[in-house]
Amino acid sequence: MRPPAAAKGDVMMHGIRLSWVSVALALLTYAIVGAAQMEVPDLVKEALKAPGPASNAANLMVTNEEFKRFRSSFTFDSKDAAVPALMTEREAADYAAFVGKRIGKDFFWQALPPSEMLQPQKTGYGYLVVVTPGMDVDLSNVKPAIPPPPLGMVYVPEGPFIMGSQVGDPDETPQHSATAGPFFIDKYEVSNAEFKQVFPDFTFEPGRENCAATATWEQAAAYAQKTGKRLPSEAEWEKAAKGTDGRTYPWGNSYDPTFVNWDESDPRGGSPARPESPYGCIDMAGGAWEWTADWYKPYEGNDAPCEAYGEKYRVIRGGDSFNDMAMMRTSQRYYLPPNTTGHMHVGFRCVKDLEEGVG
Amino acid sequence: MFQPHRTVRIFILLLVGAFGAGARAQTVNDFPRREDPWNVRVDIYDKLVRGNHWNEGTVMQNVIFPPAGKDTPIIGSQEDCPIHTGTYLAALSFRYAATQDPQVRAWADTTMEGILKLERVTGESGCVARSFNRTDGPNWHEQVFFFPMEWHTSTALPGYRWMGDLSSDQFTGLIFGVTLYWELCADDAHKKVAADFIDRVMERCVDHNLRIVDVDGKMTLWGNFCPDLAHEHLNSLLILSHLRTAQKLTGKTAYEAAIKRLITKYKYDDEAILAKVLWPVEWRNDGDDRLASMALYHLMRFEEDPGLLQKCRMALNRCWYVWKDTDDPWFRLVYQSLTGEKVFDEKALARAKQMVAVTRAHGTWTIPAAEGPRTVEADYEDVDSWALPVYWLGRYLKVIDAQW
Repeated sequence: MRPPAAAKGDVMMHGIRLSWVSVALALLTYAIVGAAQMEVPDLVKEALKAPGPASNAANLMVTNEEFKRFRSSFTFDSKDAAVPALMTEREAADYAAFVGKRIGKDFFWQALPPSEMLQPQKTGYGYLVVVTPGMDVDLSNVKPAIPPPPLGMVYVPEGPFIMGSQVGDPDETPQHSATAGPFFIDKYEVSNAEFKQVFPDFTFEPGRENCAATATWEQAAAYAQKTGKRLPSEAEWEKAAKGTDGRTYPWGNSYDPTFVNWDESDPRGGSPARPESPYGCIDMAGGAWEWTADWYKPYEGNDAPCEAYGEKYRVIRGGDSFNDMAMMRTSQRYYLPPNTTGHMHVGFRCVKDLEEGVG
Repeated sequence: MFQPHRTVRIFILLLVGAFGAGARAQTVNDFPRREDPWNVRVDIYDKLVRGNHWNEGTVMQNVIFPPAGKDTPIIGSQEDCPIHTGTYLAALSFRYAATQDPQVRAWADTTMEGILKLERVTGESGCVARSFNRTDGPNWHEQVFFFPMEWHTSTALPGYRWMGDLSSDQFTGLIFGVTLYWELCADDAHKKVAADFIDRVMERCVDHNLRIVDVDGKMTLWGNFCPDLAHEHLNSLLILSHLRTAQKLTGKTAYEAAIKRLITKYKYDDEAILAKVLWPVEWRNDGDDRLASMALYHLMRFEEDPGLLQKCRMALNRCWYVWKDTDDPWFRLVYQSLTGEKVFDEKALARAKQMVAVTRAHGTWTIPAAEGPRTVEADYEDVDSWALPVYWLGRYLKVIDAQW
């Protein structure tokens, strides 16, 4: 139920009518005393703390959609367009300047408490708060807190994404909306050293401890099971790689050879540019193919016959840099028997489910 | 793209048959001596290729001979068979053009038949295999090399197994050789055979939006000329050349239309200028240069659009930036034939005379076997793709003397 409309000159925050004078006073105090320290007025702090039933957080906070106009590489779930954007203090200042505003005058940057960080490794994140008289405050769209990801993993939220491709192979069609998450996924592929910890008889060339391990599907699944994890489904892998905007590569739509590891001799994350996927995964394009849990089957609605479909082959994703760059697309599918790597460099990363009731 | 380092890395040679028999039981035992005249050495190399590396008209790049014996196909890695066959057919075509020897034309016809079998064995029009073997069942050695899953039992040619996943470099080698055969060697009947082959493979490629597509419907791992997918600039040059070649051989307007679309909508002509990667230096690749040279050789001779020709020249200039410092005979002969500049100099000639078409060595290998791995010793031979084309292109251009 919407709160009563605010009278002209008043600020409505969660149904609490505040006098414009108090807001002006807070701003004035801040302008005089706190500009250098970026202190956020209590008024705004209170607004942030107090979730309310009413209208639109976009009126108070810079939204994902607004922030993306400033930073085109910024990504978010399409359903979260109106959700307040997470940004660093520096990004907040840049954005304010971009729209001709000043932090401390028109905007206030509010740091998130650690308990609300979606990705704890990204410290220093918060919201940019717009102080606009006459608006309501609603934080109901703010993402809920989640437990911190296990060491070496990143969080992928629940929600739909664009799976498949309209320009790839026939087995990538039809492009469709799929749902995956929430889950945690390894930031990197499992390394030789990590694999050897679980399977001591595993051998690899000296100096390649931090390179992606090459394993059959059976070995990869066994590793995942022993470490309390599992292999990602195709949908989970693809969402972790591309996010929700349907991008071709984990970093965007253009290929760049400096963004990928060349071969199995390169350590994980060893590419010059070291780009991350929208959720923080590294090396999801090139370096090594990666096993998924799924059999190679057609997507629903794909009637094109293919002898390889069925429960004969497991799907690999992500491409090996030795292959053509098209193989590194986020929607590209390939397949191998589960008991061989086919003399290809095939590694894997694991996922872990959130505890029930979380996320 | 051609990546020799990977080939070296997987160079696990194998052996079929009765281990431990006598040495040097291959079909051709002669091997050229360093002091032999150049033309004599070339003759022996040619016999070695057709004797020891012959697989029903196609050229096997690696073979291990005895102890299995000359009647058993004893092979190493087979994935580069098409480019070796294509360049060999190119050599035969230059040779026929230079000598008009009917025996050479017959050999070339047989090679063309082998290439047709690479297509026929797949059972799909325009789909070409990397290689094939006549065999009653799966060969255990298929599991040793690249992509064991790419070996298929032929339904079109019973008694054959074939290897799929044709790449853009193998594709280019075939088109290069078959086109030269059409241009310089084939009689009228065989010209039609060659043109029809080019038509089928290019039609399949165009129908799949400029991709090399395997029997599973998927683009092969290195089969990407597609405008809707990110691709190498080199591949833009390659496909423009292949389309122009197909148009030249068949007269079909569909190929002309495809060229127009790639240029006007996707700027393939601009991408082709950058086909040669110059920087960073460590990304320069000799294998890619070979592919570019084959593409430019046809495109710059068949193309009539001055705008595209100018861009081809710019692409060639970028190649020459590196080629000029190499003394590589092949690159210099190609550059000279396309520009008229006399760059096949004494140093290049001297280097050409040292080229070997077949190398032979003795080695020890660990061979997988049902009862467990075993170690064997054997002679083996590798074919170099370029020594014979260099010699015969030089003869064709009259810059190499028949008496040398």
